[in-house]
Amino acid sequence: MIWFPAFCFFVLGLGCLLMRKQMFGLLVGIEMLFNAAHLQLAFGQLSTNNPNGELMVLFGLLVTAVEAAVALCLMIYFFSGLKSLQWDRAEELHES
Amino acid sequence: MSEPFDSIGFIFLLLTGLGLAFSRTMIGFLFSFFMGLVGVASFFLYLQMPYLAAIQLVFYVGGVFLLFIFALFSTVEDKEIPTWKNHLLNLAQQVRANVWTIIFLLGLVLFVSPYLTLGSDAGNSRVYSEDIQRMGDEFLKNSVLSFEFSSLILLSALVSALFILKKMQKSFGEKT
Repeated sequence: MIWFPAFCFFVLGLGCLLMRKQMFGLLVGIEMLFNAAHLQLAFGQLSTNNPNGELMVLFGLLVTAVEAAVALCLMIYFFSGLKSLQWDRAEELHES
Repeated sequence: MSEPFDSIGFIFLLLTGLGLAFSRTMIGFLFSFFMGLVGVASFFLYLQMPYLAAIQLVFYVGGVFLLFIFALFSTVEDKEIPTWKNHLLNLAQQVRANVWTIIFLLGLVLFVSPYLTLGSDAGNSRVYSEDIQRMGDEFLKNSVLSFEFSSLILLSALVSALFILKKMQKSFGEKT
């Protein structure tokens, strides 16, 4: 049952991605999916007993930090154009 | 090693799930996300990886979560004129935020106290320092080229995103 926390985080992230209409919800869902992957990598290291799992988690942390910075930057631009954060209105930004 | 259900992370996981499902305000939603991040850090502690737990707290809770809060405050929509009904709603939100804060502080106390116990154990501390030394060796000897290459890619992604944003803002300003 050691994989169960990672599975829970995966389900929570998937639920955020599917249920939320705001861009914050999408981004939080993606971050939760990344966290589930990090936990699974850390759990996998226990069985193999080499430090590659921890290194991959560290690399994943760097990637998610940059991804969050870029996504929030684009989100602020999206809001400055449309005064809304509903992702289904992204087509209007393209038309304008 | 005991089952992961014994870890304090499951309390954070449960609170995260409830918060993500039932929070109506965006600040509550983000606060639930914050508890999830702390929960992941506590699971790293459960796996006896304190270095990863510290990095998780510094990167996510200290960096990414603050970026989220900054973006949330930068994208606040115009509010309606306050009425008595809105005042009552605001009061209810404040009460709910206070309850979340108390739960967070209780969780933090429960989270920190087992870590202090772990830190006082001399045998575990020795194992942790060996793990950190081993990871440092891996970073600077075997995986140094791949991580340098990945850092260049990430840096170029950040710079290009800023460049694209500046270009888009310029075109948007010309139209308006």
